[in-house]
Amino acid sequence: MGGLAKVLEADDRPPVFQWHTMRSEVAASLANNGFLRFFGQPGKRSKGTAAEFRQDTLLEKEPLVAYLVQDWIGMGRIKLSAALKEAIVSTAWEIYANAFEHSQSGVGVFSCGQHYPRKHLLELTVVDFGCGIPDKVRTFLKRPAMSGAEALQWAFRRGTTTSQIGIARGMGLDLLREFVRVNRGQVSIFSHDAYAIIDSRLPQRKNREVIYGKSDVSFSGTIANIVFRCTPHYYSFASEVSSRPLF
Amino acid sequence: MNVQIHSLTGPNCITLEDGQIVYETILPELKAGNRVELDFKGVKLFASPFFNAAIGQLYRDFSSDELNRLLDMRGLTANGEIVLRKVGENAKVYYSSAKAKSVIESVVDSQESEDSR
Repeated sequence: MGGLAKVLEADDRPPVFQWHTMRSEVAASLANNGFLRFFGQPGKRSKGTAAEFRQDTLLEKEPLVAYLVQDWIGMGRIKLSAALKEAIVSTAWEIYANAFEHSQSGVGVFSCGQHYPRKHLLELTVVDFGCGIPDKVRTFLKRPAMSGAEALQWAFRRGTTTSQIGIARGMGLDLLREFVRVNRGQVSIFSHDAYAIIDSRLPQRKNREVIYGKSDVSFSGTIANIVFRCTPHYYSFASEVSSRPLF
Repeated sequence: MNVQIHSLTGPNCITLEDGQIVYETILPELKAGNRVELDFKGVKLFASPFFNAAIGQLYRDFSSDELNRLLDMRGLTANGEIVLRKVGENAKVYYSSAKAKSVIESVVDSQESEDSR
């Protein structure tokens, strides 16, 4: 919603929020994550379980890493091993890098997060209002008839990239999929009329697969929602380190 | 040659731009056949864009055997090593198919110029 408001603002059609019509619990929630303050409204941000709503117009590593480490993971005093913390932040960074590389969104990227202490879950949503993954893939492959779901499937394949700078790329979504698998988390990506979902809670055989489909509602940019488990039990990357030569 | 990565990139090795700086620093040494030690002491975060530029590109000019002989990686975290291995696997495929494509194109070009004579 905040992102849409900024898109309209950029288009010289600023929306009017009827702030007084909000229920008090909604207002409290939007104050907690800084949404009200972002739009110049009174409302004290609380360092509870919500990571701040933010807009990034540039991919700047220091402020974004600080946000992920101090605000998102740092909230609620979550106890994580250094290795799990690094893997979670690194994977979240891949999502931002993808959003900035592919979206060409004039208003940048919007994000917010939530910690669910009882469930030991950490959620992050990253939204851009750019051209969307299907459109980018169709243009790159010169396949205008390709369905949105097929385009997402192509984008999730290891090594595929629409980048033409002559450097091997296309690892971000693959690394995301791999980490979600070992962490037993979830990832949902919605772009145009298509979605891709990985849900490691699904029964064996299904839980390693990405489920692609057509959405009922089309969204011109891309929404990435990730849910990680923040208990060391659900992290085994370290055990996957190999003794083979590095290169 | 010993390269303290932290002094080039700070504690986060996550961007393509930082990777490119490292790549340009070590490429001449490697091309001269000199051993290079990359020390990641103090680096806390790794992501694929960094390794794509810093290390992945090296597969354009060097084989796995050459890189194993010439490059020494110190102080990588477990997560960093996993990301590096995945980037390496991808880069091997990417640059070997790019080389194959280039060879095919040069064969086709030379055949066409032969035919046109």
